[in-house]
Amino acid sequence: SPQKLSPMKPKQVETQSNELCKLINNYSEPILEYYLDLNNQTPKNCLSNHTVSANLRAKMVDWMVEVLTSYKCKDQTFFLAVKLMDSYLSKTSQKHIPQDLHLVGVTTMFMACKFEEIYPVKLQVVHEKIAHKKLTKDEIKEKETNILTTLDFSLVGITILDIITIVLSILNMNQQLYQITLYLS
Amino acid sequence: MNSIIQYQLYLRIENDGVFILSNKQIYDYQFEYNRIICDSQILYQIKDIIYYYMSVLENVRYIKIQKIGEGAYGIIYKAQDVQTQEIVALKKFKLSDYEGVPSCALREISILKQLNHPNIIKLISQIIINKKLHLVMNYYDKDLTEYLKFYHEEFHLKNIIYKILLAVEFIHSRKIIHRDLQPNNILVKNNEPVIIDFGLSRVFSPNLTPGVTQLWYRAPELLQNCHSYDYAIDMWSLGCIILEIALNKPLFMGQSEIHQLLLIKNLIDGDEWFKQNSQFAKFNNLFIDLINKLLQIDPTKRITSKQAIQHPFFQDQFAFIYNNE
Repeated sequence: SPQKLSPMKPKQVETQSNELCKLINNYSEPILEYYLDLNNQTPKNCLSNHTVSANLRAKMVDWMVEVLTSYKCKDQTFFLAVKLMDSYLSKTSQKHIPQDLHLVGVTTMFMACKFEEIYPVKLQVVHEKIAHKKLTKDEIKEKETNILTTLDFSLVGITILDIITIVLSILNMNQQLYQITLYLS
Repeated sequence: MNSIIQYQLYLRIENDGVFILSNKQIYDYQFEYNRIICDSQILYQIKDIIYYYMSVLENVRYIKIQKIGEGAYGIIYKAQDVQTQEIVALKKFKLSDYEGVPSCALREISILKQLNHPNIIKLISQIIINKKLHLVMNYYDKDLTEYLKFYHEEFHLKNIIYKILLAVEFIHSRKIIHRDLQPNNILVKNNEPVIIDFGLSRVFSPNLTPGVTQLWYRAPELLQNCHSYDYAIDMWSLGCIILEIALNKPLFMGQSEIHQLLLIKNLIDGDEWFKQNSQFAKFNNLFIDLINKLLQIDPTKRITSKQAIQHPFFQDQFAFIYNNE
């Protein structure tokens, strides 16, 4: 995807990937096979049904990086949030206009946090600090249910981070390459 | 003595037209609206009428029969599908007012959706009624602890152990850690085990919380408060469960984390720990070797689920848990 990511703390990435590579090794091959299976189902053209422009989506993704890093969330949380947003947009039957994207983005970040983090960001914080009180808690909760039913609750899925980590750990590549590919993706 | 069991039958009509019906013996007082008190025979007749009535209504799909379990996350009911008459288990999550859908529910549902395996519980559907999330799953009436009270046939026990390992290997190959393997979370039907309760499971990532798994089955690295553990914690739990199947009693029954660690250190002392203990003398050598590889204190030395299913104990069809003599 063409959008630019704001730089992440290199140190954090390094320790994380070190552990990942070490721990994932035993199971990496069956996991990768399974991912390739899943990859065929990943949505294409997520914006085609909506009036949201690719540029706006890129801005949203950028903003997500900013928010999630400032709350010290894992990289995985960010990739999951983007993936949830894309697959929701491609599966929903509603037509979304640019103004709707804010709610979708905030809600997917909230959901990704709950899924990945040990201590997820609280709804109160999402409402006050992230959405700056422009979205009510009920709106967010309603959207959450909506997204869950649209996606039929399948949150576990392949993100680009998983592929990168596994492919690189199989190839036994070095840390720098990990950071660069992560940045480029 | 001819005592008539009396039931109180209560019906509840929820806003969106979903009926929830349950019956309880009369001494269990719980006040609900529309309470009918009757004896079991009448209950039977009324039940038929109600079932018929409900099957006409579109929204009604499941009738709660009784509560079978309760936890921090919510309540589990035994229920009947009105359309197919099938008995199912309903797991009800409370959607909290503060956080929307609870994260354990998010994880459990999406993980169960990925796991399609004969030895893993099948999620039939999930429904949201009145802001309460219900999971519909197959119903099994026996867990492993109860099963072991009545059945000890070695052939079946070995099969159960093997099938559990297969299921765990499947889970791990999907990048998921179960994190709550214990006999209560393994149900048995027709001598086939089924793994349930993915409320604590999650997709593997570095840096996780160490307070998982029931104390008796918790791996030593968790007891030492380690934050970056991996699939090996499930293998430790399996080691404890498999020995429990063989000994017919839990292996380590610690009362606290420190006590649990002490019990582990006392039993597993050096590489030849199983030779010093008389209760293991009756076991087959291959079985002991499998146990030894599962119960390694160092998680990196513990075998993986993939290696475990290829272990010679399962290759040799004449090797059973106990020595043949």
